[in-house]
Amino acid sequence: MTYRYEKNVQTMNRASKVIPSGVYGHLGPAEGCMIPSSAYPNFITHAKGSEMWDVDGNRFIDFMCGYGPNVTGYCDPDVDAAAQKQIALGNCTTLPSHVMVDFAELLTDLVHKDWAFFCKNGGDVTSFAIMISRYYTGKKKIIFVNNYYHGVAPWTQHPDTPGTLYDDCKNALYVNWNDVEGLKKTIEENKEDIACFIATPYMHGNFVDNELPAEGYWQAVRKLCTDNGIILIVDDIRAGFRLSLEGSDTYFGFEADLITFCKALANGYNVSALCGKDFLKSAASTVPYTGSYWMSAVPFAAGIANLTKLKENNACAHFEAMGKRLTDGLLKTAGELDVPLIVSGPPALFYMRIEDEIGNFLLHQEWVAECVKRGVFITNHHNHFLNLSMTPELIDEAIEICSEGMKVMVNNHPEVFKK
Amino acid sequence: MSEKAKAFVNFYAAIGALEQYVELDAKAKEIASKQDIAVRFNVKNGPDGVVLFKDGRVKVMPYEGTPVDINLYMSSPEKFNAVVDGTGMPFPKKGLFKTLAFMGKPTSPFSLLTDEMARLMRLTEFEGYEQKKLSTILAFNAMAAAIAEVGNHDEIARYSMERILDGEISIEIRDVCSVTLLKKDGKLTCIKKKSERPRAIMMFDSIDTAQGLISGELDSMSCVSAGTVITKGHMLMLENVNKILNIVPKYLA
Repeated sequence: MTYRYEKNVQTMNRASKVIPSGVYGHLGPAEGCMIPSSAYPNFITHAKGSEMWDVDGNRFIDFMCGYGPNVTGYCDPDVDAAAQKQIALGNCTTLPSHVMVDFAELLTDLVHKDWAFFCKNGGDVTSFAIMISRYYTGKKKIIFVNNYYHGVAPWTQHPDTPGTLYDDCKNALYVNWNDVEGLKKTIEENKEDIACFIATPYMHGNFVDNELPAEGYWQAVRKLCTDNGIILIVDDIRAGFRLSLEGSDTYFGFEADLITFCKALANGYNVSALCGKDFLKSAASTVPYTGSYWMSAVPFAAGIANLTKLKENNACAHFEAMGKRLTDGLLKTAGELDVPLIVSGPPALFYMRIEDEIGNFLLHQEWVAECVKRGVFITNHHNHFLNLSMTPELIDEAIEICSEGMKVMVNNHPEVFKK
Repeated sequence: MSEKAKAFVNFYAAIGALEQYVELDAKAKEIASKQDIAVRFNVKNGPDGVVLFKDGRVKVMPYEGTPVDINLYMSSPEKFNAVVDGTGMPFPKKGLFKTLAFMGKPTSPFSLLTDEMARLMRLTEFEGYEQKKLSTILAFNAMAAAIAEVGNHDEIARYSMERILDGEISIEIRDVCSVTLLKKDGKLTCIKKKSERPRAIMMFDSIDTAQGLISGELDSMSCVSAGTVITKGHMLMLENVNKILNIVPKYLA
């Protein structure tokens, strides 16, 4: 018996009348990670821990975690209690609460940086990092790594993106992941005009197998940036606090000049942070940048409780163990059914793909749809996330459901799976 | 807007829709069946193609050296676009009298066909479902052909075209018609038949959805959310096709 979504459809019909796309952006079905859209719910009523329930009452074990923010668990009692306590004391006030300082001290100590600047979303801090780099260096070009994602601001886009101008993109340079020689060449060709190099700590692009840094890659990048006066920015918005609580630059054995955090910072309370080294602190003070809610105290209090809980519970080891338990189970089923399932990226942020002859992902999308319709929320072409509330029992249940989904997919395609 | 890209769209998408028009409309087929003629449109710095009328069918294709009855030369894409808009005249290098007979006045066969087809494609209110269906199929084929031409020739759209991986993309109106966009050798080609090995699929669930999207009454993101546009396969290929599609209306308007 698979799920039905009558109320989801009704709600989406209402939504489409008053909200662009019904659900816009990365949580919406038009973004390309929920295929076919008919296999997916659109709206929930509530969530707890690692589970969520849609408006039709269907239960899902959730491996997307709100695309990252759910890191201690939905409605975590400790994080929510800290937030509730702060609500009673004041949130968006004329002067910032002292908890902002507490949070900055905790964060900078944890990730080995000298200062922290708080905003709301990932795009706020990646944009600020670029502005600081340009101001400090007096240069304008940005080196991107192909298959990157650093938000949706025009400087992150290509000229063919609706709403973006050709001029918004003319200072972009592109290199391939793990390609030190290509980076050297790009720097040589643009030596006098490069402000910064921005990259995620490993390649977790969508639609591609995720790729870890090659041995010595980050150390070589660090040296090239230092030697050429280029600011090294690590976009740790997706991977931050899932590989290491000390920042992913520390995890991979190098030091970024600027590092951005957001998703896992406060378990869903809205705060992002740019952390940096001392030599850029004056630039961060000088570049004008602010927002109405950027100093709200509730997310700071939640962030303190969240990071403290992650630290006390050795969270990253748990994410890795749960991710490995799940992917090992799925690979075992795939092996038994002769399904060429490929798992890439770190177990805490695993990415999956079923290989096919044409490279059209149709078998993979069909399998994922069968999983979702049976209660495991995964997406087609995005990495997944684990959280602290995930249990071995839930993982085993997910393996059972996904294995059943894989058998259905295999049975639907005798032309491919001949056994 | 690039005049060169517009010239390619005018030839392969607008005039190209004649292929479907004479196939699907009885009156058009009757007019076409009386013609046996090959017309070359030779546009300097633009398309160099042939419109072939034979056995009641029309084929619009690149010129590859085969003999033609009429050879129309235009010294620039702007001149060709003016001809298509009805504000300019081509220069017949060959077949002056045939040109006058075939397309020299509003009642000439080519003029009759293109004028009526353009009227049909621009309709927003219809006499019935069959007319709506015909109008939508013609506009759908023109749109698909325009994706290839705009992708290949518009400066901004080329960014998207270059990022489309090699392979076939199927664009369909469910149970009505299909076209294939082929990315190969650094360019897009529109093939007016169903793809056998698509890497990505975009399917409109009905004539109504296709008509609404083509006319601009509906937006594609909302249709994907509502499930009336079904997308599957390699979504990055479709994402880039959609970016080109966003640019197509300014050329097809």
